[in-house]
Amino acid sequence: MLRLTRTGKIFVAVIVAMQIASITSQSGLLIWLVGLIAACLIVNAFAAIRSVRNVRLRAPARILVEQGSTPREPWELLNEGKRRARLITIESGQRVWARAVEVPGRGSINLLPLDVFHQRGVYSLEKASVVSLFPFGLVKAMQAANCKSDVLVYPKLYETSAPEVRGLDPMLGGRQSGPRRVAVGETFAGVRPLQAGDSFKQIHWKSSAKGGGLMVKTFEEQLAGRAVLLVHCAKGSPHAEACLRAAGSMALAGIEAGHQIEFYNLNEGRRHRFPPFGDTTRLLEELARFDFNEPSASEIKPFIEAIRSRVAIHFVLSDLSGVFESEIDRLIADGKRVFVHLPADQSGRLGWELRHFPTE
Amino acid sequence: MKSARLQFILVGFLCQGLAWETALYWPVVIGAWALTLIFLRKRITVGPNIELGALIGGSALSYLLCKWLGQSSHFFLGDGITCLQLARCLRPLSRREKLVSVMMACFQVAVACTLAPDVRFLLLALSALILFPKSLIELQSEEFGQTDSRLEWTALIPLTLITISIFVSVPRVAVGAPIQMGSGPQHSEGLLSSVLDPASGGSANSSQVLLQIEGKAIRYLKCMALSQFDGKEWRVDEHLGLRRFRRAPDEELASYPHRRVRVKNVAFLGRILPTDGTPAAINGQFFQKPMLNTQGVIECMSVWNTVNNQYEYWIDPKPEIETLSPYLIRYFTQHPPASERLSQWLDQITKPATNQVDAAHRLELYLRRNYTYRIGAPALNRLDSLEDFLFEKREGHCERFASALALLLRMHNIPTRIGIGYVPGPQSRFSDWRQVRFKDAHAWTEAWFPDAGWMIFDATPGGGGGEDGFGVTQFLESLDLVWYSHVISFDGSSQREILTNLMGAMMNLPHLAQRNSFLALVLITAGAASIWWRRTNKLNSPGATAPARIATNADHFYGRLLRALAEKGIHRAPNQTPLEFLAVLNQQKIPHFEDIAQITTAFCETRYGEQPLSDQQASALEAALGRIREV
Repeated sequence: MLRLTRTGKIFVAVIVAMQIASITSQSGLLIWLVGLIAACLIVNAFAAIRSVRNVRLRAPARILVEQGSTPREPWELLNEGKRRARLITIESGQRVWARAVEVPGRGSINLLPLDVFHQRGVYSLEKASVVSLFPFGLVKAMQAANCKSDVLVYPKLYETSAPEVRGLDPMLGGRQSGPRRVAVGETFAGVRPLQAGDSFKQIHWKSSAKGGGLMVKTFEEQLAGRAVLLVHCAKGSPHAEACLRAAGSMALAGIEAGHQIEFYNLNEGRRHRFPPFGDTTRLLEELARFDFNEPSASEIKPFIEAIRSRVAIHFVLSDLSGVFESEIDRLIADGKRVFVHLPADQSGRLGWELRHFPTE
Repeated sequence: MKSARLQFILVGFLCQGLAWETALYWPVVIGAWALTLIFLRKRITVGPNIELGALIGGSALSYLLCKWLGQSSHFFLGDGITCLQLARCLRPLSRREKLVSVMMACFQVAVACTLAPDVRFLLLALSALILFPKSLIELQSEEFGQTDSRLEWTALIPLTLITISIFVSVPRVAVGAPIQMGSGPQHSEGLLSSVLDPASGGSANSSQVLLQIEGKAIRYLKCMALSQFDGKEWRVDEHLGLRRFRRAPDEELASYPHRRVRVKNVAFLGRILPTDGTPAAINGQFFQKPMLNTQGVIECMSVWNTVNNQYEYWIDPKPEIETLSPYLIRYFTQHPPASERLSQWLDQITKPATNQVDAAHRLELYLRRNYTYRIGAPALNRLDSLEDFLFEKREGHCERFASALALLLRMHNIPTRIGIGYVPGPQSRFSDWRQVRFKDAHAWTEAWFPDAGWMIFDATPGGGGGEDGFGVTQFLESLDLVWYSHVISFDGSSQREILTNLMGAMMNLPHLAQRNSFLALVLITAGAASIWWRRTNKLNSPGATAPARIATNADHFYGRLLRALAEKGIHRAPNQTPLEFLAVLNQQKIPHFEDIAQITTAFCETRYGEQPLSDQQASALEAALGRIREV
């Protein structure tokens, strides 16, 4: 597809003006100048089409970017044609993702996107175009990138303390040590005689060679605390983004502290469970995709009722509304351990375990 | 100065110079441009107010200078733009400002185009053809951090061809503007002043083309006649009568001498259509009701200015002999009383003459042979200018000779008047066309004889136009004529002519191929072989150059960094990657770590990321290397 750039539009206006001026001019030379500018437009159009025609964009399916930074994973621009493709940009609307001076014929280059993503969200490359303005910048030739990639911009997370947890589950990677000895773990606890059902792999050959029979290795039991983050960011709230950032930072800190974290997106009704030291990609993706929908009280309640017992419940809220107040009170009355995280300028009720998160 | 945009700006300045009649403009602007870019750039800081002041001040100065020099002040804004462009050369510009500067240069080129410049403009046009696209390339490549402004042949050739195609094929639409009645050489001082005082400057004596005329043996294109002499100066007859001239039948016109005229400056001529001889018929589209006045000049009732003002006329080879009434004979023979000395001198020359015509020829020849043509000769004694000219000064320009001969003939009882008009330049080498410039204005004498009517006598030595020669001047003149007739005056009729010729050539092509079947076969085979060879050898796959350049840059800087560090006793282990080596250096806390990190990162990006190294990056890396070496 061809489109005139702003410079191109200006020069088209110049052509029209000169054509009009030539009507009363004694010299036909103005038409020469009109021809020169028009020739630049035409040559530009053909050269630009030829540049983008065979260029393909390859990018990872999901590109995670922290808010306020640029993607770190390189993209590949592949030129299937035999001619050089020049002055290539990857654009989507007003956004220029990346620029490449040239891509050699039947070759490819890797390039890092230039753009700094200041806004959290999901930016799809599916609608992006490979664009060339070569050589004059008057006409823009565009071709759909056809790249099914999303740039997921998650909020800028900060270091914070892990959320309080309650209840311990045996879980590989958990930070807490349990009283039992198990066959798999990280901290060696000692050896014991082989019992029926023990795996052959567990045998500790060094001690078995001492003549006391076959011995197997044992490890300290790893336990992980449980915490549930119930996140709600009110639509239109000035603290919605800060709330999400706080929830993400807390969840990440919890996972890295060896806890199992359940992340409840109350706005959209989604739930994710993250094991200790697990892959946080899903968390970051959830933070990027988080949409500030307004759920009804009836939609929120089933989520809260589904929370398991013996778990620390953290409400991370941008605004304290009536629904949450009553639910928090009910949970406290049920003997649950509930923590309420609110923006720094908001206060909770007496008897609540209140935490404040930064709003800037 | 290497920037294509700055060079295009200079082309704009030179184009603006075409609006000035002085040759001094070009050296001045070239000097100012060079001075600005070599000495003053980045030394003087100018702000928007000073730039605005340059625009307004330059325009005002130009306007005043034009008025003072008596030149057209229509283009004063262009000079203001020149000043603005010079002021803007002093500082780095944003992309938008650079684009505006290119557009302003474009505007100046456009203004030059409207001036119908001579063939010298061809050089400027060629420069613009190359530098305008190069400026745009430069602007675009700057967006990508490059300073490349190369215009490749693969772009230049199509550009040129498309430009020519558009120039040839775009339909010409012409709208005429009415000429204010009362204007023209009869009513303005333009033509008369150029004849009476050719030494003066100004547009009346410039080399600007007034009209072009096609035909054979063209001599005197008459625009007006001076018939009243009050003892001091000649005047136009204020009581001119107009009459319709009889148009000869079309079948007779074919045998008459034919003239075709392109008027480039209708406003200057006004209602006058210059003609030589007695027209038998006249056709044209930019005037109405052509009439013949009593001075034998074609005058129209109304005229309007169009892009191509053309008219054609046929000369009556045997015109009807005009009769003069006794009153008119007395009117055309009025003269101041001749002194005894003058009478004796006149008798001495005309004594051997057998008749009046012979006497007139003798006087004409005498003046031609014994007097000197000189522009800017000293002024004559106003009390007795004729005798002062004949016996004392003996030199002058055409008007003095025409006037002297007219008075001498009147003293010999021959009715006379002074014809004012133009004598065309030499005929073009390439066609029958001739150019008539403002400076070709001329004056001659017309004498009436009962048996022959009005006859032309030119007493000016060397008068009657230059001879058709083969010198460089004639060649340039011919080239100029081609330029004017095929470029400047390219119009709808020229387009139709080309189309007709093209169609004719196309129609002849099969016959031509049939006649030269072997040649046609060879050409087709050669064309096919060329295409096949290009495809198989992949002539147009120059992709190899870019990665090579990138690798060179990357290796260049990183290699120099490693050598510089090795000189300081810091060696990179063979198994270390650049980033691992960087991490080790970070732990050692060596000075200028940031610079080393910058070079390493650039190396990785260019070497492995295949990112090109921009010129700015390269200079930054060079500076970083310098700092590392200094430690």
